[in-house]
Amino acid sequence: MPDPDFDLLVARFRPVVGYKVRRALGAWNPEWEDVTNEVLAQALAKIRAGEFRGESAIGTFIYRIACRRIADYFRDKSKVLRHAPEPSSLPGPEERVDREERAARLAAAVRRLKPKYRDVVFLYDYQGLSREETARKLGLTLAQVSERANYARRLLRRMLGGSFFPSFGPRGD
Amino acid sequence: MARCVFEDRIDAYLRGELAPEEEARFEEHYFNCPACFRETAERSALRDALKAGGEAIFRERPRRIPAWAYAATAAAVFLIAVILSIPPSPPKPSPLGFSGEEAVRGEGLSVVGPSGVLAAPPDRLEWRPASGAAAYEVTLSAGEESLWSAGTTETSILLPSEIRSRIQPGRSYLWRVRAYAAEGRRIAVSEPSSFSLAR
Repeated sequence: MPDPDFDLLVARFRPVVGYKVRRALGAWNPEWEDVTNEVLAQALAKIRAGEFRGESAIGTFIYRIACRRIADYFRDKSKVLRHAPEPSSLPGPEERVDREERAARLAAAVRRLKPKYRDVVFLYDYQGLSREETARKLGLTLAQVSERANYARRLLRRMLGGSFFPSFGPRGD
Repeated sequence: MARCVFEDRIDAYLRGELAPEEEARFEEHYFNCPACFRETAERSALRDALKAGGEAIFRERPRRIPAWAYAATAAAVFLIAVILSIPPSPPKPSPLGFSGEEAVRGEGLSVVGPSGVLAAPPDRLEWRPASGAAAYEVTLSAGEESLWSAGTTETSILLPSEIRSRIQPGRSYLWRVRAYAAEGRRIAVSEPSSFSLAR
């Protein structure tokens, strides 16, 4: 019987561990799921063995395990890859369809934004200009750039709905 | 929604503007703060989707919605046709031992940086957009050793701190980027760019 507390712990930390691992490994690296599972399994094993004594927050404890596992992953990987062909980490056809569909939904939402919000999203979030450059181009203050960016993101998120955002957990089911 | 003092760091984190120790502190924070994590993950997904969608998303006149996808594919097919009509130059010996299918190396895909002698390990690798490209794949190597590879839809990519910490003085690092069209075909490869750290 799985311990219900451990289930809760996994449910809470799988998304955050998954996000950190994907960010480190590259979003298309298919190994992120395995590495994420290993981090969670290691964390549970350590907690069961009494290694978590509450000296730090539980999130910090798991964060450190994740960082060590990611560092090990890169170290092992560079040994294995020394003379091996590079792995292909391109998105599969399903992911491409998914991406096109998402882009179409996003485009529809962006078009519903008022121009003063859309301009900020375009320069600051899409083109990646600094807050200062965005402010200068649009004749805004720095605070206005942040306010409009945050407001536009909230609107976009509301229009797109929760299903647009990945849970960073395992897919399917 | 209760505001967290760390919330102001989210954009800088996603844009790769935090110093490594600040980045680690922020990550440790969001492992403990579900509100900041949720905000970070959602902004990150929104950013990725915006970047993946391209400028067409911001076009004023609503066209039939998937039109941009056809246009991108047509552009990519055209680009491939153009590339295929260019007689391949004799393959150069590659220090990275990459395979010979990359006859289009350097065509339409050039790197911005880093290159040369750097004072500190770089935070990000950056290149110019290639026409028709829907995605890019970056590889970093040192000598024969492949250190890292990752995919992105953006025209720059953050080096994870785990990789940054392995960049040492006294070695030369090579990186290059490959561009892929929306249907997954490789359409361009950059020349390798090299950097090293000042001792």
